[in-house]
Amino acid sequence: MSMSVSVATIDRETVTALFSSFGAALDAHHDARDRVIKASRDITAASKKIIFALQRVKYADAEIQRDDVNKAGIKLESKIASDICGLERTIKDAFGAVKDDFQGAGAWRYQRQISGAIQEYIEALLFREYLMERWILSHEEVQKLIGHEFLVTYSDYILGLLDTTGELMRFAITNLYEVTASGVVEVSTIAKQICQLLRTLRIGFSGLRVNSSSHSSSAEFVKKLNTLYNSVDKVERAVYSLIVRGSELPEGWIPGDDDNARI
Amino acid sequence: MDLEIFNKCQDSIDRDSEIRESSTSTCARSSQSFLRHTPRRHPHEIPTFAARTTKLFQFQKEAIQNLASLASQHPFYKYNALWSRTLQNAAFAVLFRDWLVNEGNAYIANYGGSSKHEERDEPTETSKENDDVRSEVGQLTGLDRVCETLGVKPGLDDENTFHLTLEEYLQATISLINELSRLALNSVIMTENSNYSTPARINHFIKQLQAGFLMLNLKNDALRSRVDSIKYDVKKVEEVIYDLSLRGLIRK
Repeated sequence: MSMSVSVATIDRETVTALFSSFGAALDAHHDARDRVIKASRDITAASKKIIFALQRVKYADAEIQRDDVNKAGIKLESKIASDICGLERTIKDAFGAVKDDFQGAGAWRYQRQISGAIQEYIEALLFREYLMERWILSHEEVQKLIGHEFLVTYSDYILGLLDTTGELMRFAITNLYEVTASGVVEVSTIAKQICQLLRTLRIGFSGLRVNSSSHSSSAEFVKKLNTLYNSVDKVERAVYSLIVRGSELPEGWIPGDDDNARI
Repeated sequence: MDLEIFNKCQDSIDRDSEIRESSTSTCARSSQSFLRHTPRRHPHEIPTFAARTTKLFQFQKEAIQNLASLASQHPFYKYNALWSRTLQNAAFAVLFRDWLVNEGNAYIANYGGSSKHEERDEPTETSKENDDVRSEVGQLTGLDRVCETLGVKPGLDDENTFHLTLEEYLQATISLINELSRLALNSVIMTENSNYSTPARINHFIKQLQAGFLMLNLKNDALRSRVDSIKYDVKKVEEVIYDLSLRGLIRK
């Protein structure tokens, strides 16, 4: 390899030979980096779409009962299920396209370029798994789902989990109440469960000690932690006000019957 | 929800900060002091002076080896950014010293080991010819040789072993160009005896390298902005050459 000359006398020919070998090495690196950035963008976009699709689920219609109440889940209507399936395929393809770039030293070399996409995908995976199975996937489970070719760092997992809490908050608010068989409006089981989960996560996250000067993603962490506090607050207030004010509703009143109905 | 995950995360964060701290302190110790110990010297003094810096380079080599053994416990690119700047500076020190030694030797070969023979006297026919020959001289130490001096095993960028990356080497080369553009001025400023031949050779040297850098397809990254700075160094040296040739102090 001509890059490994020990001392180059600087004349036109030597410089040309030397720098064309440098150029080839740099081009290979930049090409790999571009491939990763492109795949990363595709993964992020598809993950966001999965999350939006899940937010459109009407919990009351999709709920399925299991023996264990805490393990209850939902069944997706076929349109949403097939949408998500297609998006999953897009994500798998995008990961597959850059698999080779992440071999060996590449795993960390291009980690920063794919990290955002991995976080977004983790968010989609965690959110779906919670709605379907009422279960928060662990770091190991996420790593297994994404595949061993790609590195899921703890930092990616933590930031992905923090983003998931925001989605859970939105889901809890849009599916806040349910109407019992006797026509009484009350706080839905899912909203109560999410509220409980968010409070638990709040405790866990607030206990993490992150050295702000040593960690590149720590600024992001602090920002997202504040968002989590706000989300918990929102859900707590919503559940609280439904319990207090819901009791004032006229008997037999059902949300949606009245065009002006607002909760 | 199992809170165990938070313990695992905490462990990972703590391990990470530990590594960051220890490698940063190793870097601080290895940051070379060659340049601070390099007062501007006349070319004929350089070989003797360079010999005196051997100890500093030895010290630097040891510090880098400590860093290497620490870093080798982890994937290469995981913490690479922590010491990249340190290695760049160290590589630059090697490039600069080697350039100076080469320049000094060439100077002695042409003018002898004393500063008495200066171009300030009317240049004779022979020394003019020597200028032509020597204007071709100028050497850039290769990546492998730099690694050897630093005590780092040469490695390819897609390997996980501790090595000097191509980008770090190129950054160091640009630092050399920056420093040489200062040296072009300082060779003239030199109190005892102005040296007008060095700027001419610097001019030739950095123009060749500039042509080399123009061959690279660069992204909008750190390397790109440094490469863009080369033109200012070239301009600075050209102005020196212009002033000197205008006054007949060097041949065009």
